[in-house]
Amino acid sequence: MNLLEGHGLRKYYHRRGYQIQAVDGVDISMKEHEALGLVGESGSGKSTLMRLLLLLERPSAGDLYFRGGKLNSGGAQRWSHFRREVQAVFQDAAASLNPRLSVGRIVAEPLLNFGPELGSHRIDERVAAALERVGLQRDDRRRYPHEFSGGQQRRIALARALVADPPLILCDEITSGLDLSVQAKLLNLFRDLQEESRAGFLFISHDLGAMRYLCSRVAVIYAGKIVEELPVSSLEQPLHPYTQALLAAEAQLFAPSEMYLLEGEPPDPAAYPAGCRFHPRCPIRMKRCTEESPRLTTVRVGHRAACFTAH
Amino acid sequence: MGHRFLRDPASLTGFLIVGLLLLTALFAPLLAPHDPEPVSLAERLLAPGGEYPLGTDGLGRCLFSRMLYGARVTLGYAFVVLMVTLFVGIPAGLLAGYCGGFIDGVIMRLVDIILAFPNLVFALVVLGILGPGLLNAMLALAMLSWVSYARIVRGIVLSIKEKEYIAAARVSGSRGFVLIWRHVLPNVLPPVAILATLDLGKLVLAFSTLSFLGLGAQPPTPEWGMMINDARPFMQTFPRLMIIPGAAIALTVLGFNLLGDGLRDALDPQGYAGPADRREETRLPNAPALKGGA
Repeated sequence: MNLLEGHGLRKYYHRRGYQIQAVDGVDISMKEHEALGLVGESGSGKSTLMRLLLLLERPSAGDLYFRGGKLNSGGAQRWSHFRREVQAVFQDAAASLNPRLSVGRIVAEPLLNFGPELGSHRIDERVAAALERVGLQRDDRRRYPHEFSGGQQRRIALARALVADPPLILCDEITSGLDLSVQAKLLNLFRDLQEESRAGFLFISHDLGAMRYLCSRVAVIYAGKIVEELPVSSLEQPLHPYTQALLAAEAQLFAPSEMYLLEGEPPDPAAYPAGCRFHPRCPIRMKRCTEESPRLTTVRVGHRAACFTAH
Repeated sequence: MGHRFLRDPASLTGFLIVGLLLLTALFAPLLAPHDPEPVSLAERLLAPGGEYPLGTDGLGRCLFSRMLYGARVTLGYAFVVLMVTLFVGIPAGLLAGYCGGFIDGVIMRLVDIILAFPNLVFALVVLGILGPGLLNAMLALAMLSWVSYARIVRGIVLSIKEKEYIAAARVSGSRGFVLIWRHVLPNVLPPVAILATLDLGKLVLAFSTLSFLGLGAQPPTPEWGMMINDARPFMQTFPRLMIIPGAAIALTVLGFNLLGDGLRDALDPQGYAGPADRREETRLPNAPALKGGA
């Protein structure tokens, strides 16, 4: 049984007569204690997908299962049960911490909601332990979020996600906007946590390097659809031209290759091109790509791609 | 914050005026040389000095004592009205902003209806239906003044609702009342406190206006607005009977306005981490300012 499973997840927004397909038919699955990476550029729908998985928004279509239980039917009862199991670290850590609450109070929030029977003393103990686990001081409980640096604020948000010991943690852009040295420390922290805790992690990022370091499997999302899903071990041999372009666009310090640059812009989510959504920018497009949308098909074990050339 | 607040002479003045008024109201029974209510026709319209520091009024009552007790009545009732206002206005705004949809529509249309009437007219209609009296005057003012709080609170809630820490709190399992209490309300209170201070002055003025018209405090209760009305027959001969309570009302309003402005400046720019972008909201206090009368 998979930890998390999404089938045909869609999220459409309607704006002044336009339909914006932020997420369009995503299938996603995670095993227990797995680290999955979700890679895509801005506007590809990765943050919307995260909001769907967190039940912050209802999908327009599709089903979401947690450990085999269906989530997006059923009432608030089932939702609140699921909430206990899935925590998140948001992209903008500073904005995700209420400026008027102390750090101790912020980190205690999941426990106050999910385990009030613990009593204030044990909650306080677990908050202190969570802070220490992410590399902060016990006494930071009494301070306020604005007294901390960007990297520390991410640690606070991480402590809040960890404190109730959930089986799944979603992390949105954990390293963006930080110094390289701070990024490295955070990545090491996440790697330690993966080993220590029972939690599965879903990392959302555009940083392939971080993905290689943290994840065992990577899904690439483009224009609201997953175009390729592959184990990190075969990340260097992607099948989809978009994944190839992403890899090529990484700064290659030791092996400067001739840059393989994509032309054009990501498509307007209100008016996606017919056929494969990537075809206007694709260097190897065929006539078929303009007419027919390729399905995400299994190519090898653990490797799926949505491209006719790979089938 | 306190540092900046007290360095500004205007805020300091407001603080001193309001402080003095509150002390007066609190300790009126100790400070007043006479009982403010019994009539003594033999001692009517005495000049200031001696036993009567401000002289006596047309019914021989000590003007000084009546002024002190008047502070108690005027401030006290304005304060009660403000409390009622806050207890209705803040939850109404929270509900409208948080729930949205139908509830928002109902509350905000009600707000629009009340705002559509000129304040004095609305108060007169309410008092015309309920009859004059302190309690009814308070009710009329409360029915008017909750509206501006509901609007402002709703606006703040709408801006807070989209913040990421609200989404984070939901993920952490907070919802409904808990979410509002822990995460929304603390951001609503500072601007509301500023508005409330500014409003107290207006409420004092409104309250005196209604009493002046005979719709609020009833004789023999000492109330500044009513004292001005009582002094009308002596406007030419003993103007102090009118000028002193009038000046007291003006001073009270001035005091609260200075204090409120000072609080706003001290709290707003970067002194607190709340929604500083809501500043313009607190600049539009739409409280029942009843023009005319005093």
